[in-house]
Amino acid sequence: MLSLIGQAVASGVALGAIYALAASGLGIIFGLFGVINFAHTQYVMIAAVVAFVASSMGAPYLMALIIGVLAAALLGIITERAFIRPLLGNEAVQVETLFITLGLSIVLENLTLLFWGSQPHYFNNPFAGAIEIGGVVLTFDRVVTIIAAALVFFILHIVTTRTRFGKAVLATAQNPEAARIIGIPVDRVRLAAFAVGCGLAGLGGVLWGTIYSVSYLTGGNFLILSFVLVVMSGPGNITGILFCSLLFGITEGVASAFFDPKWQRLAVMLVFILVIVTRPQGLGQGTLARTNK
Amino acid sequence: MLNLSGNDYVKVVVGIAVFGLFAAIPLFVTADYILYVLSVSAVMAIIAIGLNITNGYVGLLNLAVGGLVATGSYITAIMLLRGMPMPLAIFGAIIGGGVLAAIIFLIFARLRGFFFGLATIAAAEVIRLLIRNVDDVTNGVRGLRGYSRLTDSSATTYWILLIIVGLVLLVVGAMVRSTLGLRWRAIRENRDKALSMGIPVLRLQFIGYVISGMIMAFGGGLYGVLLQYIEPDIAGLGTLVQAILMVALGGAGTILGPVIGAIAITMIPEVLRVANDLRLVIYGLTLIVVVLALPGGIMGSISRYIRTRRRPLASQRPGVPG
Repeated sequence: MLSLIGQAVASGVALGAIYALAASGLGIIFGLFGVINFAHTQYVMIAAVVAFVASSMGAPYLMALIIGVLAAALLGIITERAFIRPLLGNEAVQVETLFITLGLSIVLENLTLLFWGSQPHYFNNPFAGAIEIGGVVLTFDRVVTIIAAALVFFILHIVTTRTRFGKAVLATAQNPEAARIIGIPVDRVRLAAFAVGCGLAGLGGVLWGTIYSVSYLTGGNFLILSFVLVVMSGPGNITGILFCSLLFGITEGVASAFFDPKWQRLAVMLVFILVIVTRPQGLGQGTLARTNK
Repeated sequence: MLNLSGNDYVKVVVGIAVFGLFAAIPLFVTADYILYVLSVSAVMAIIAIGLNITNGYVGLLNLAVGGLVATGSYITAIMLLRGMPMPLAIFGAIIGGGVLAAIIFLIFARLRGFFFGLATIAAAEVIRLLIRNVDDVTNGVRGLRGYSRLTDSSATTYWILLIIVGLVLLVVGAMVRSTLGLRWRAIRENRDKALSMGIPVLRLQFIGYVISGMIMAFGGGLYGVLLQYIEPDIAGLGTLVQAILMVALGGAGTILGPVIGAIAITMIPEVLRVANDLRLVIYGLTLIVVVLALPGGIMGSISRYIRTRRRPLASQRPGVPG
């Protein structure tokens, strides 16, 4: 019994680590600019697809992973330049970017379906084997995922709180005009944040693909979850996203271990609704919170 | 309640003429397929009119469209399959939509602006998952089929739907022009100012959200009856994109905008004769183009054109905050 719980929690943590990576970029972009990018989780999918294609063309796993992440970051840069920037300064910027990126999301998903088919593809998993601690078995790919997420969030925390770039990002978030006046390249900072956020989503996507499979639905799988995570953790609360993701992952792990797996997503939504009813402001306010009105 | 000026009588005459024109279509076109497509756009128009109340007039971002539409179609289909008459089944859909909308609003009412909208997506997802999982009632992913039709003649079906669209338009139009509609717009323009003027913001938002939900579920019920097949993905993002596109293309916050948007959105894939797979790609691309190139939608662009020709811009008139 105890090892069953431990097993459910352990695989839940691995799942939560992927959710955290997928949603982190959304948290950055929304926390900073109030820009909702509905296509965000399609970068998860694109990265996984690109990495899979690279890997099936003979690229070693690490190289495929980097190519996938770069593809996602590049797509993020293109999105920012082509669709977000033209709308900035517009009064209804939030609603308009939401609509545009919703359209973009549907286009990316269905184009992938058209050109890549609906079949799930399976990575040649480089992380064979598993570790066992006290009866709890965790495959290596899951261990790698957890370590990657921990590293990413540690670096994010350091960057936003300790570095000049982090300060520039915060300044841009608080008051873009004032930041521009004191010489911060506001546009470039925003572009960098987009690239990083989408790249992180891509990292989550490749790792997801490695553990499970890649298909055109991979991004849609995360879409609603990522937004729920951002709403639940509260504006600008990056570490809160990690916490909520783990909570979601563990909820799913436990729900699928003790009930039918088909109820796991509903269990997560129930957790979300409970949190919102009791704490509508989200779980906490992070470093960037005061900037988001 | 209705305060008609000279300009409005012109609108009434034009409205009746356009309605008559649409009603006359089956007299000349007998192809079942075309009447079917027209019927689909009528049902879509009802859904878009419903969405336009929250997104266009109350200024409340409602992204639970799929959930509300699916609730309507499933309630109707299940009631029909249990042998209940059509009017009762449709009525059930309307009530179900109202109840669901009330629950969604009460759960998320304390979230502001964008966060409210995002949270309502989760509500739609809950509905989709429930429909998938409670398969002894909903038949799960296999969907429901084999329930009764509206009528056996596609012309009669089209006429019935046309009359329903006309009635919904009249009711919503009257609502929007009443004090209620005025207050909705006050909330949309400046929530805090409306609150300080003593407008019961939360209660009026609630009313708007519930009415919107009832209309969308009504449209959903008719949608299922028309298509004769429903599945859980009606509660998914495809429905949301389609509905948002209809409202944005036609013009949010205008009475006729959603109808024009619905007709355009149903016709575009038919005219282009594309495969069903490409339909969503076209919807997505259209949405991007509309937002970038046609702010305010078709109706917004028309009225902006008229306004700039006839009189000064709203922002230049005294007493109107720009």
